[in-house]
Amino acid sequence: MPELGQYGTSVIIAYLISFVIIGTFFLVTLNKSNQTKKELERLTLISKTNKS
Amino acid sequence: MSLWKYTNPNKFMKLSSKILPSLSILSFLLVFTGLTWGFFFTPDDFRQGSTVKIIYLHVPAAMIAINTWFVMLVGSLIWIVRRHHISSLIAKSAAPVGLTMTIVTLATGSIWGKPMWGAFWAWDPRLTSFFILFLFYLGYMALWRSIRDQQKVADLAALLCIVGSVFALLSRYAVNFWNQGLHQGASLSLDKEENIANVFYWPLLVTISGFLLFFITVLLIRTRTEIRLRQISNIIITNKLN
Repeated sequence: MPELGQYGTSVIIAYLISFVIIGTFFLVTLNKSNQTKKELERLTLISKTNKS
Repeated sequence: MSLWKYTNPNKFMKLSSKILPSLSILSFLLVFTGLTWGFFFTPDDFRQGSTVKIIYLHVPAAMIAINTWFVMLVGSLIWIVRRHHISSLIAKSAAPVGLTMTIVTLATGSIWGKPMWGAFWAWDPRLTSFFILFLFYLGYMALWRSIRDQQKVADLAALLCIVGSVFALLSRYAVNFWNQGLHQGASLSLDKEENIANVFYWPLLVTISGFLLFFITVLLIRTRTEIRLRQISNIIITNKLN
């Protein structure tokens, strides 16, 4: 860990907040993408079953 | 080869599924390398001390926040002129990314500003125009959620995007227009002979590249999600009609 001096707390907080915001956003994006993909697959299957 | 063929949703899905894995790995590597290099292996600034290390988050986030609006603008203009649904979906998908980066920029800027300027916030031209850009992102996303008619909402959102572009431009060039305010000038500029010192410049460039690829990765994932949502909607409508 580098010597951050008197502003160390500010720097660490800035990095932590950024990681939390970006990380949360990315996880939400991936989760929604997976859920939508599964829903589409389910509906496509149902639709094909109904047609046949 | 015409790029317009990728306005076909199936071709877009095919291309994006091919490039996403390598794009996401590369973006992660670049962001990790840039942040590690900047945080652990660069010296403190003689005036700002260790707070200069916030630059490796603040500047890339700010650049993405501003340029995302221009991506949305291009998508909106293509929608208005050529009526390709993919372009309006790209604009819609880009907005949350831009909003997230705006929040990161404002947060890291405030944290950086407190020890340097003695205040978390000032009504400085650049900060104010950035805050207005943040409000425009919120308004744009709220507009998409408020109207069910997809064609109508795409048209209105495109108009909002064009109006909001003024503030995206202001955010970038406010320091040039107004010769006042706390915020310094651009750290990087194509039209300046000197940028920041090389010891900070190179890790910053790596981080910016990583953030750019991260933006493209998330944009592609979100656009694919929007396409799937449209397909779901079409299946539901088709089955109801049958």
